[in-house]
Amino acid sequence: MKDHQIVVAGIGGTGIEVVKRLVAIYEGKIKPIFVDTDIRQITFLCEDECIILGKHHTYGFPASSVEVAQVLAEEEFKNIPSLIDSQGIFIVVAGLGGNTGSGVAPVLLKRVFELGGLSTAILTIPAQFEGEAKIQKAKRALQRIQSVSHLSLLISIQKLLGGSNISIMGLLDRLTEAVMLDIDILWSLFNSKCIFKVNWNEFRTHLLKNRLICLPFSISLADIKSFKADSLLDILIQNVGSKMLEICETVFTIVHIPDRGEIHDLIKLLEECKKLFNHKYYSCCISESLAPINLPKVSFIFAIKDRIDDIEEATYGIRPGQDPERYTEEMVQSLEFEKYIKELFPLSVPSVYDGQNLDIPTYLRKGVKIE
Amino acid sequence: MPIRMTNREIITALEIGTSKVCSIVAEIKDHRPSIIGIGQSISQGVRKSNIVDKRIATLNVRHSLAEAEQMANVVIDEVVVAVAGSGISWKWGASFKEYSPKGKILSNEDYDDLSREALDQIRPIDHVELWKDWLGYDIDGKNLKEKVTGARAKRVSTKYVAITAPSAIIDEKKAIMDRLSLHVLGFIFSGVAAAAAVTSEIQRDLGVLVIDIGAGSTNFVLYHKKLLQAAGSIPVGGDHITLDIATYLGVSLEKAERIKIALSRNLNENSKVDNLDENEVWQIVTMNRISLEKVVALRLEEICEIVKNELKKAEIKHDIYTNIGVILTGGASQTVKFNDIAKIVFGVPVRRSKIISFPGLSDHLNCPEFATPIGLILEAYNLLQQGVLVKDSSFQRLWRELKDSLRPSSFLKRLT
Repeated sequence: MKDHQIVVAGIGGTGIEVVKRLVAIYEGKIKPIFVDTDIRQITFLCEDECIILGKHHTYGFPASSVEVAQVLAEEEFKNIPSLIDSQGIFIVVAGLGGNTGSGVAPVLLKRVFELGGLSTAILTIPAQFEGEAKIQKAKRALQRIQSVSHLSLLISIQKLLGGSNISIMGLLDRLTEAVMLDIDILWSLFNSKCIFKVNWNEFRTHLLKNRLICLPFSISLADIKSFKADSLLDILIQNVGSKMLEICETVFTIVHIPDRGEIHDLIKLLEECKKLFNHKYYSCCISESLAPINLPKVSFIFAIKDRIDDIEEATYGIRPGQDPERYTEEMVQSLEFEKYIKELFPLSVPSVYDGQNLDIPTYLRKGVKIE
Repeated sequence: MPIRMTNREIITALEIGTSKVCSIVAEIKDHRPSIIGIGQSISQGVRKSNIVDKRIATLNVRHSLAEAEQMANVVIDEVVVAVAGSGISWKWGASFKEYSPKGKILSNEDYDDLSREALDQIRPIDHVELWKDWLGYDIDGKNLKEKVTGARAKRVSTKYVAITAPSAIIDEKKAIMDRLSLHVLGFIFSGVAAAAAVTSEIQRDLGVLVIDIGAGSTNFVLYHKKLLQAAGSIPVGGDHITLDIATYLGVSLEKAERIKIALSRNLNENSKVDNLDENEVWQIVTMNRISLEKVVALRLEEICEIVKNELKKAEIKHDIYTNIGVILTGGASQTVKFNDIAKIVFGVPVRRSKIISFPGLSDHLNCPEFATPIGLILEAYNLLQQGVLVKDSSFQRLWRELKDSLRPSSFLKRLT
């Protein structure tokens, strides 16, 4: 890891305790930020790395409710561009269920999101024994977080405890280990040319406007688990055709991550893709809440610029008459990627009659407009 | 345990289609074929009626034959195979010989030379004959159906019509039969077979155009005065209609196929959908009915136009099939509004096919998609009666079985 490419913000009691441990483990490789309303939590920490919320409101005491913490954070984070390194990755670590974590984390993530930073969160969910009130508070906070973060990973305290009797310090150690694992995951994603900051509509407009012909192909998330390099290649050849793999200029993998359990499989997939396509490969991670409803869990887009003739020879073809120029901004907003129908007649000679390819739908060939 | 029939006459028809592989076993009883076994399998190795994956196609054929064998309780070792697909053409060839003013006494050799010359004109390079018909001799202006040897003539001519298929199509099917240690009794053009199943002799005499639209290809044959006047195969079929729907709606091919069926079923039977899974398809059909019908109509109209154009190329006069008109058969003939479209394009009466009934299990096969395999049985029986197809003698069969038993594929067949 390069220095200061990862900014880790610990929010509230849990967040700060975990980040303190991370600082000791990563030895300066991450840039820590400690945010709290409770001055006692951050007394012995470096002043440059601390943000005390509501100095003149709560006078260094903990926030009394989520709403209070939220208001204080909104006031404080109006001007924090210096905290965000656009080249890096911004991770918020917070425990949900308390007041500060639940109130401040959404505000900070939203601010990072608005400033164009990559907002990711590692959050803890309270255990059952902590009470229904805390769980509900965590759920409400999570809803707000998911709408403003590019990626959020959840750690269940219940699962961490695993039924064993351990001390608070022991639990924090375990939590730190889990967070470390998640940071490594995020780092791998970040390094695998993964574009988190994708705006779906903008991305789509870009592809269409730049005459990038898109051939989306989706696979189910369950299939990812059994992916190996060879089988991935086989599946792609089978569905897209070897010619397309050869001539395509850019390959995008677009994924949205529904839960933490699948992220390991996802990284495996992205790594295999990276190996397979090397320099022409990009992956886009879209968080569940930001992804369009009808976007498949994992989809590949094979893009080619101005190579219509080549595509027609490939196993997949384009829709005849499909001219990217005809897409206006307004149309693109309402358009999904043109769903490409897998060719029905692979391996067979095109049915040509009087110079016309009969394998192309008649209404398209004849240019008949059907309302 | 299946029995190897020696004293009963069995005909097995095999159609390796684009959507299904169908085999029908018929037994000749009282000078009529009677169906005793049916086998069906999904077809996966065929596109546009051409075999693209021999291994899968072989497995499908094996599965279909095994089912038919089980039902008929016989061992199938000989089949009549249907042939369709691009490259199949209908041609006629004529030859004549002029002799000295005194004339020449005609011998058998003279007739053979004439026939050979006529047939050479018909057969393109790398094509084999699927079917041929001899239209008689013209001896000094007199039309004769029989050879007249010993007579003196100044000018003799003859005419043949034949359906030919590319050798590659036949070779692929032969290869599959070889793998399964099956003897091919004959190859018959699917269009001719379908016409045999859906038309009567009177209709063929009066003039009828039969269009057999399958999943991968459309075959057509035109009969007039009981003679084949034109035939052909276009590599466009029901799968193209499915593709059009899938492209238009942006849905998967599987769903498009279900939509196509639902679209046609509504008009045919006006049946309700009780199945919840079909509800979604039904909703799509209801919401897009007019557009979908237009998409489908454009394709059907195009298919009809191509057939009409082919007839025009063959210099067929329109009035020779106006009496009976057009008969539509094949699985995709049930597509919505096909009758109306064909009526507009050809300008003659159009009706859907009704398969000629004959004894046995044919009631189960009274659907247009079975016209070809049933017609194969009928056509094969007729050709056997005429002596065009000849079954192997007992000794030949014994020798073949002995040879087959030594082949590795035979062991595999037994194992499976």
